[in-house]
Amino acid sequence: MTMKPNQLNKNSLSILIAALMLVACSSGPQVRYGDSKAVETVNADYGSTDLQLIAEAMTRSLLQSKAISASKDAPIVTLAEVKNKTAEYIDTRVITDKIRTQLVKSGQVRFAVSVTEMPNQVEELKRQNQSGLYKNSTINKIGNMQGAQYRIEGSIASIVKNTKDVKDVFYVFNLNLINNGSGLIEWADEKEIRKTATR
Amino acid sequence: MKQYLLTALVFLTFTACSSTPSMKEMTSRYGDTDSIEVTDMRSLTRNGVLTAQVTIKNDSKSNLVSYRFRWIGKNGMAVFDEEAWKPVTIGKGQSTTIMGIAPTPDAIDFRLELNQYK
Repeated sequence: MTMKPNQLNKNSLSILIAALMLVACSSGPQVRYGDSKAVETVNADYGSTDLQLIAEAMTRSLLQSKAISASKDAPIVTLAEVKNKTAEYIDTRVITDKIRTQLVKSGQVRFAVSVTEMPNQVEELKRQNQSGLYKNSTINKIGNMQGAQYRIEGSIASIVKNTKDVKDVFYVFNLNLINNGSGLIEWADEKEIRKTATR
Repeated sequence: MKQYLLTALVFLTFTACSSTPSMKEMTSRYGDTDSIEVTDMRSLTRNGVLTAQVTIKNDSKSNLVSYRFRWIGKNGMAVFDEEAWKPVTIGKGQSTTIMGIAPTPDAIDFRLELNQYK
């Protein structure tokens, strides 16, 4: 049985298309690990570099404050709210968590559980004290939690200006260390960031 | 005898001076940062935490500079994690002062790292 030239060409073409499709299917997206500390400039929106800059600036400034450095024992601090006054979605909890982690790692500050972590703390104490499952000598009794001497709270705001070709974003992050007993603001600092995106 | 003593003293003084690293030795450069000049570098301990102050000058057209500090503890051991690269905008011919505060009182010395980002 002999094939006509046209039929041969059609067959070759379909084989070629099938091969190309197979190659296309088998080559997925190229994945690379990047430097998590590198400057990120994908767009002018709030990004990883902003998070790192804010957390680092606030932590270092706070460590140098009299309220922390002059304290005999590492003072007990708790996290309060950081208000997002920008139009963007910014998870401010990530910022405060990062600040807390760095402060705890410095060994100069101790943290009491924050309001958001309180339900878990209460649940754990209840489980130990009320379930009857634990050896009495190992139970953490109710009423021994330590109150925080200070709380950290603040805000992030932004000014955004747009033209056809330019987007300018100005962030200002403000953080305060407030004495829970006296109500005095013992330390305050701010971090400003300006980003401009041009087409 | 006195002369020997004097010579030994002078030699020791020189040795002590040369053990302090220069600004060039305290700076690590990555990428194309040759046009970024470090003009001043100093540090002091404020409220128990080491604070570094570095003045840099940009002689290039590009002003996209990033920097970070590396904090060193006793025996030259690095304290804390690597810092994030911090972008700083400086125009051609402009000088700027960058400040760094150590993340822990364990830091006794520092190094500067310079980079350019695109």
